[in-house]
Amino acid sequence: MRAGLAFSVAAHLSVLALGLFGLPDNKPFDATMVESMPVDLVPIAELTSLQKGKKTTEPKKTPSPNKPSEKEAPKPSPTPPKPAQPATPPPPPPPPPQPKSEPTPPAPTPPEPTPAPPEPPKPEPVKPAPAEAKPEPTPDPAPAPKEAEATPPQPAPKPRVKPQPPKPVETAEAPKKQPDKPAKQPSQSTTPSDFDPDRIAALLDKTKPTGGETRSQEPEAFGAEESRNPSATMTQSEIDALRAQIQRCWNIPVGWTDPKDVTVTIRFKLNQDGTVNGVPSIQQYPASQYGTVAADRAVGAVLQCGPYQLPAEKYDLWSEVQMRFSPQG
Amino acid sequence: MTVHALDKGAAAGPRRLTRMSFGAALLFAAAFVVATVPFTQRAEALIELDVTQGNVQPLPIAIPTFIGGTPADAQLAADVSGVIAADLKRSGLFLPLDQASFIEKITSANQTPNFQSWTVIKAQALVTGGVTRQSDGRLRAEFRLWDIYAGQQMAGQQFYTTPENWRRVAHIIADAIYERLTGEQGYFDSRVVYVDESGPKDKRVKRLAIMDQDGANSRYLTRGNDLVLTPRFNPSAQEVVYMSYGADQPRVYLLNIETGQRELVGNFPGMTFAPRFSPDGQRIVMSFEDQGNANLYSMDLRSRRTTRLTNSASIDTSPSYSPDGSRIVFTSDRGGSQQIYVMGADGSNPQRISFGQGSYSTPVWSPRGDLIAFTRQSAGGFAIGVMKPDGSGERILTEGFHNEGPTWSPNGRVLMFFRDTPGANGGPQLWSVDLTGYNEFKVPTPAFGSDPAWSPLIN
Repeated sequence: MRAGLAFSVAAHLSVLALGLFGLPDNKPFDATMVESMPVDLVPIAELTSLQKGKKTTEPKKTPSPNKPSEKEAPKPSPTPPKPAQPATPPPPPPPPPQPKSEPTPPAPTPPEPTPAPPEPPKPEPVKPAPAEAKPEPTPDPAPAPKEAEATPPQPAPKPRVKPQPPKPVETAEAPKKQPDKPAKQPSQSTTPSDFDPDRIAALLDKTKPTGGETRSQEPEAFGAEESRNPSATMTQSEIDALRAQIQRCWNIPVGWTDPKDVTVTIRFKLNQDGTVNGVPSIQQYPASQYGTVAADRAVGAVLQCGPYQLPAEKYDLWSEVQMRFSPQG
Repeated sequence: MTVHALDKGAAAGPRRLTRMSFGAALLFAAAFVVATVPFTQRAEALIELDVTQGNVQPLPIAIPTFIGGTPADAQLAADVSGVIAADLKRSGLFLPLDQASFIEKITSANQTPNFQSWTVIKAQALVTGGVTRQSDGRLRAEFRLWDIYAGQQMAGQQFYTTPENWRRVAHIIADAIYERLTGEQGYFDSRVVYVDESGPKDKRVKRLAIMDQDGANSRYLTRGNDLVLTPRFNPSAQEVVYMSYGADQPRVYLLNIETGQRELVGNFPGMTFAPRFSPDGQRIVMSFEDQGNANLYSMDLRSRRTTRLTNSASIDTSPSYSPDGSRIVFTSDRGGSQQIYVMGADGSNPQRISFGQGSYSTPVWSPRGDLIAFTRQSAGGFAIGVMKPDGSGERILTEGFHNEGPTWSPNGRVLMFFRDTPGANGGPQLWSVDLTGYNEFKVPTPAFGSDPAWSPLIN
């Protein structure tokens, strides 16, 4: 009895000891921190129907705070004499999604240390002129255009001004959607002759920073009017809509085994109201027993499903259509 | 890019960021340009697009009642267009529209229709026609098939025949319409021979019967004294070869449909059964039982000479020629269970082609040569299916109680078979199914029916 008890206790203790100290070590479970990524929802039409501006149009002028007649430089290029103009009345502050502060990072000048803290997030937008090119807006289509702006976050405007006394004043602009605008060199500052270093203070915007304002009500500065009705391209969704309208009426012949036996290509013209002009012409049809039938069905599909709903302003793009009917599987 | 920046934070020097973002900017520029390429337009503003999906629906077709040349012909004309519409509808590929929805009234067989009023009701084809009894007693029937959207005639024909043949004319017109609108050969002008079964289940009277493929004009070919099985047409559809339990034992007989004359095929010392004609009508291949085995023999009808085709210690039966006459498919249990084999027409090189679950029997080669139909029996029951002549692509079309004995329509698109119904009052019925597995329906017969065989097109 004693022996048994002793043995039992010893066995239990040894098992406990083994469990506590004898098992192999496991690494602690390491949860890695995942960075969260800001996401912008962009309608596809913005990508597929981007409009081009025109380089030859006159820049739109907006009055400066000090002199209404004064023209404003399109964009404060992020050069050393970085515009201190934190907030000039017209230039809209960056849209909310863009907490980037402007001129800061690139500025190799004294102001740098100051801007640095407020800028941790997005130094991007503020690149030197070349990099400012269009591409940038692509990932960020909506806010992109704006970003070219020399619109630093409201917090740090004032301090920045001080270190740069002799800088030519550039009123930051932010022409709106024109991606290529930003890349303007400081030499583009409009009226250097008007600049009076002694009256810098008069040029400062005394209005309270508003923050959160997204875009200016001014029309686009460069060529926007012309580019509003471009003969650009048909968007993919418009082409898909036309395809879907015809698919409804296409009665596929039965009995074929090889799609090549029933593949037909036809061409037809459309009127402005979407109705078919004349009879579709058959460009190519197969020499199989189903050839005639397949051609008949394709032509019938086109004639039956009109008139077609297509954007009227792009008529010159879809006035003639070539369609290949080829059943899958 | 953004994420990286976040990671690095203030530690990154401005130059480094500049270079990195410059590279990225270029990359995005390139991607952007590439992305817009598909949307660029050609100078002549022509859109090109592919359509790959459509619908596979029965084609809506308008068949207004045919016009009789004289008031006395009106009923006959209406019957003709009725048969045409019924044929097209039964094929499953057409949908004759309700005449009540028609806007324009066709009053003459030669009238050019007002196409606009037919497009409105969503018809895709229009058939007009007329029937007139001539003064010499013949019947004249004509039709025109119109393309409504193009506004022109697609097909048109005129026929002269005896008035009793009005159904055949209707079937021929239906075939012409079917061919023009599907690209396939028609099958409506054909007949079906089968075994008519009547009487109580334990005392069935079986007679050979023949009817049009739509069930009309049914009549009997034998009197019912003897048990008859497996009737088959010859290529001219004038003769039927079948097996009958005559005086002593089952024998193969040849029957002329018109004259009713019957003759014994081959003087075999034993039981012969499962006969079939060759595609040229010159030979009959059948199975001959000898000492417990059954082997295939072919007999030349002119010389009456028989040739042995298989020589195995097994039961070989249900032979069927390929459409070009070069090969024969048959059932054999030489491998242990009933399976399908293909061999040369001279008996050379038999190869097994069925490898699925269960046992296979009653193989029939399609008139198009591309498929072999069969009956498959497995634990799950009976099924009718098709496979390619090399055995691949096996596809089951329909399953049911005692599904058996498929036969092909002349264009190789429809199968007819028979299906039993269980119970004391049940019996076999003829059924039809399309090659796609759709459009399954019962074929009307006066009484029960089994063992159907479809004739070629009658001409």
